[in-house]
Amino acid sequence: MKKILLIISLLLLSGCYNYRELNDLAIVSAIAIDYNNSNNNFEVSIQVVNPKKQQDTSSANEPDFIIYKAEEKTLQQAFRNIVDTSPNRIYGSHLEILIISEEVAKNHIDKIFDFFAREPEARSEFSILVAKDSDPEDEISVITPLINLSSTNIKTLLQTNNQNLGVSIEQTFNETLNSYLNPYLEIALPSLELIGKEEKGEKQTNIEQTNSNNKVKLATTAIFKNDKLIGYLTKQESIGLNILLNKTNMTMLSHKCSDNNYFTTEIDKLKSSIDTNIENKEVNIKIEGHSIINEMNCNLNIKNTDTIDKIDKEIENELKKIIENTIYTIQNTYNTDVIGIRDMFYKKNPNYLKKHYNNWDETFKELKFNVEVNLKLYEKGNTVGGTIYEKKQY
Amino acid sequence: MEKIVERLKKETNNLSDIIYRIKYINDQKIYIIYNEPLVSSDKISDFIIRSLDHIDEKYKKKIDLYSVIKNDINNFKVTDVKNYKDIVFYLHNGFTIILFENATALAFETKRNLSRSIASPTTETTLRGPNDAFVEDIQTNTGLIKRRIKTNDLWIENLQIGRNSNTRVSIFYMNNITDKKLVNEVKKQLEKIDIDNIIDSGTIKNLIEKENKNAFPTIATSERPDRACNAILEGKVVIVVDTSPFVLILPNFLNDIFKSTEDKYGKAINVSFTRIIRFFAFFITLLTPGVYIAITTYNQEMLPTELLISFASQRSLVPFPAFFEALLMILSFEILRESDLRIPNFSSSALSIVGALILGEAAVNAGIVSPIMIIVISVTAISALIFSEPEVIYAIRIYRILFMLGAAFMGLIGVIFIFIFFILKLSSLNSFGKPYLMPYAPTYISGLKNSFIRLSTNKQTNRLPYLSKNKTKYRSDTK
Repeated sequence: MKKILLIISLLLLSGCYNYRELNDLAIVSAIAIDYNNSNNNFEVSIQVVNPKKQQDTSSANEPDFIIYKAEEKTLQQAFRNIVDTSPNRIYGSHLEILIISEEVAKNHIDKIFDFFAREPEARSEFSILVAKDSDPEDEISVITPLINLSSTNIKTLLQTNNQNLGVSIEQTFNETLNSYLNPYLEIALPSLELIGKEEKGEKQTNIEQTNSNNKVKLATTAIFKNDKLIGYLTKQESIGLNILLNKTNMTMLSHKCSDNNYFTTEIDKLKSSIDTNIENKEVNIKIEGHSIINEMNCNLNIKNTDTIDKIDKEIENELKKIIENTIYTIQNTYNTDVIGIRDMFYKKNPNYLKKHYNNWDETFKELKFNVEVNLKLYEKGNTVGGTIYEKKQY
Repeated sequence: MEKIVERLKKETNNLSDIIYRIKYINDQKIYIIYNEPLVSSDKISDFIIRSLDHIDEKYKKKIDLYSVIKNDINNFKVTDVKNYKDIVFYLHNGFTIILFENATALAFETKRNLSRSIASPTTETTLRGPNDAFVEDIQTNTGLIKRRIKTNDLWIENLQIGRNSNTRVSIFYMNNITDKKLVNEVKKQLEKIDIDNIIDSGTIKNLIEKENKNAFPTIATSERPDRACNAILEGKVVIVVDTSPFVLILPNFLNDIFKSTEDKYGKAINVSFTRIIRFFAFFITLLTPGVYIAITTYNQEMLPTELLISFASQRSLVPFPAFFEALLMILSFEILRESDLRIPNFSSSALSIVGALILGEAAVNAGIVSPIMIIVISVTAISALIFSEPEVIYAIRIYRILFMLGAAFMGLIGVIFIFIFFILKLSSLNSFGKPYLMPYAPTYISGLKNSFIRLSTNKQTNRLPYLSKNKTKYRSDTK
């Protein structure tokens, strides 16, 4: 009897804490945050999944997601104000992406970090992106084909790009938060662009054609200095930064062998290691990887090992040039330590760092980077020789 | 002699079924008494009456009728009847009594065959292996076991239980394998029984099972002679009850529900895989509704986003809470199952049509349940049917609803609480002095080798150590 009483009280006294039916939830998949300078309000837009869409045939014309918008002086108040228009409770555990406007990225990113680090419900796995030259609300409003939910579309885009081309930098909120909180690190975020700005992509007509009018497109990496957006890298530099940060392991390289003729290689299993020398202000970067010939438009006999060695050297130089360009831009144009050299120095010898390098901006400019690239060509595709070269033999 | 007949007639209220036939042999009067529904008339006329006539012709001078009849009658089983009580006993057991003038009596076995013939098992069907099943007759059942274990070490102890039914109960065990303490304990429990009737072995099971409060059975029932024999040879005790086609096997462990009789006849690797599936099925049928309720009403962050959207879209038209929805479905399935068992065969097709309506598209279209709930309940129901022992299915059912309650009140935390309770309950259970969770807790490494998986027969050399202290090997090491 005692046991039964115990079980009953155990069940009833909990009072169904945190009970919520699926029907009552507004599942938020994406959030867009902008800042209105005229009235100093945060403009928050959330993308809520429309669950009726899949179940009910009568709602075939309804969109897959709905955008709710609210604004207020602080983020929390702005989010609460969404209940003015949304009948369901906002549920943030399935947040996939957060898009911030350039204005927010320039001046208010610390508020974003505080809010999302404090919010217990938000999942820490989402990615933050910067809306380049566009309104973040428009970015999440675009109706996309194939993957109907635009947040999943963007997230998948980010992953696929990172794994195959290495332009976009993929990191979760937790990783970004770590580099934000570390005083010796600067953050870098991926960015998004809109194609076809004339007409907004939030209508169903956007996906009623084979080539939709409006699309979201991944742009290059946005880099920050002192938690303020200062600029964007070029495509090549974004790849270079990703390689330096070990955030990607695959990319493409092409090398010019004669006028308008190139050969293209895929670089695989990229691995970079950075070794520092505090006293000499030296940074030794070593990059290793495999390369595969994908396209050979040059008259080269790649059956010959000497040619292979030559090609190998050329690819290595090409990659070295990209890395050095990236470092130059970061060092001189933007002068921001996104690679985290200062952090490495600190981890190696914190006292020396504090004593000698008080003005890091200047020190960073003076650093000497030695890049060593070591690639190994190990595959030439299905054809053994070059088709162009072979044909010329007869 | 006349006094005995008078008393018998009086006590049975002149029952017309009992025939008193008077016969004179060698000018001596004897009574031939038998109970008509229980005896075979052929046997009486062919062997007893004819033999008596033969004696009458053969011996002309006065003889000692008692010893002559005992010697000359063509019957394989003759018993001296000592007193009146014995006469009644043999009469009700299908014997024919010959009563002499000096009040002595002889009993001859003339039983009519009241049992059905040996058929194939109905509740424990297998693909491979012997296909005979126990019947209602204890002699046949004993025969089915003895036919498989041809050794003097198979010991049988007989008891009479039931004041009215006087049912014969036999305890089977291996003298050289089985733990004697276990046998004595069983015997003690059986001797303690004081009851009017034993109609089926289930009654005995309830009377000797100490752990009646727990839903999981500590005594297994089986109608397969090969399963009973395997159990006896492992060192278990088998109780056979007259008039019941189900024998009792004890002790019974939780692990035994994952084993099937035909496991011994299959290839080890295939059987191991099947056993792993049974383990999965056990936890699926126990936990699925509870975990589903917990995840969809409390812990939505556990689901992948796509799945959550899919669940939410399916739930969007259902007006009930998820717990109520699940309970509704579980109840209707259990009602269907129960009525399926009771219904005569000819109307079962009507039942399956109705069943498909309740657990199917129609319920979804009516907006009462979500499609995913139908899948959850179907998976649960199908997984439960893997186990042939009905008691196990019922026990799982109780705990399943407990898990659902825990999930409905506290989410996954509740499921974990109930799981702890479940494990505690099971580990506190005993089956005739042996822990119910053997060989998992307490852990027996050699027992574990034959639990999740089955070793090939070549490698199985030792007996289960927790059943038999005896060192005799199951199989000699030489290959």
